[in-house]
Amino acid sequence: MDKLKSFIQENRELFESDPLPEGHELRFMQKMERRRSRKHNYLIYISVAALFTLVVTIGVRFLKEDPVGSLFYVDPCGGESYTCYYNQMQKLSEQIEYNTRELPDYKRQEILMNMESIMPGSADEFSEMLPKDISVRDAESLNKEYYQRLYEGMKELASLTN
Amino acid sequence: MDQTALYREYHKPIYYSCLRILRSPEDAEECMQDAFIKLFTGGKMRFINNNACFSWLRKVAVRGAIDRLRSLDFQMNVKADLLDSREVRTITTEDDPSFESFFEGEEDHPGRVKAIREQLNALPSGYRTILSLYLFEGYDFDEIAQITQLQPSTVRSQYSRGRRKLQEEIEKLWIN
Repeated sequence: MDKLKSFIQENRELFESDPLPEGHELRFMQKMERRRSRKHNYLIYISVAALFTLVVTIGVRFLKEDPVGSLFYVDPCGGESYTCYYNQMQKLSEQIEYNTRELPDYKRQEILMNMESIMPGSADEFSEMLPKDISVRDAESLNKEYYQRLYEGMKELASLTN
Repeated sequence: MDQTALYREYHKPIYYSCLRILRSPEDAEECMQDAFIKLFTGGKMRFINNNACFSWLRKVAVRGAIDRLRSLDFQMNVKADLLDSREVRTITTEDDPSFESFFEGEEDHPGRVKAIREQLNALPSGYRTILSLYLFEGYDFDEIAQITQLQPSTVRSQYSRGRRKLQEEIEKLWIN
């Protein structure tokens, strides 16, 4: 039996009779308050930094060409002939070729091969496959639908190179 | 339990645990409050019960006190025995028969308490820490080894030497 240990446990209050430093609780509350305000300051700094990043990001988007189009989709050929989509695709293909010049060779080849598979040979490619007895209006409508889909695909491809 | 209530409930035992290791009331207050701040700001408020909360607080406070002590010893260029790992000796936690006379008689408990406190405070910081953790906080040697990051055999050896030294000093004081 450890008498010293037993004695200490039995007379613990005598060992712990020294008064605590005066005002310790107040000092503790002040410390906690300082901690909280420091945490609050961090939150303000983080919020300001996040807001700044957001403003810069939006600003950069607006500096690019066609800022509205990048924020809200606008069909460039709404109300126009299907050949408009074909012309837009040609512009996009030039842009893709230009944008991929810095990419690794294998990556560039992959993108260009995909582009070639999407790009129609001519603006009349689809018209030639349509039945002869179809009305001009229906032919225009089907052509427009066909080239619009190809144009969407080309846009997706172009977005990979930005 | 809210933060103020928790502080009021546990600050005393935590303060005395720190005081026994550090000896300075100012350092003990800092050490005690640091443990509470860690509890309140570190997302540790989801304890199963109050006992678990107290055990956590005490362990954090004791670790903080040991770190502070090591830092103070280093600053004062004092050789901290706590960091020594000397040879292991066979030890016992039982009392020396000659020391038993110290506990004879029911009267003068405050005198005995005073003698133990004074002699414990006079011990080198390493011995004092290990004796405090074992005798007052009730940790076993393995737990003390974990807290102090020493080998269990070193803790036993340090405890044995410290305990012998404490008993010798108390005996000298008590007989005279």
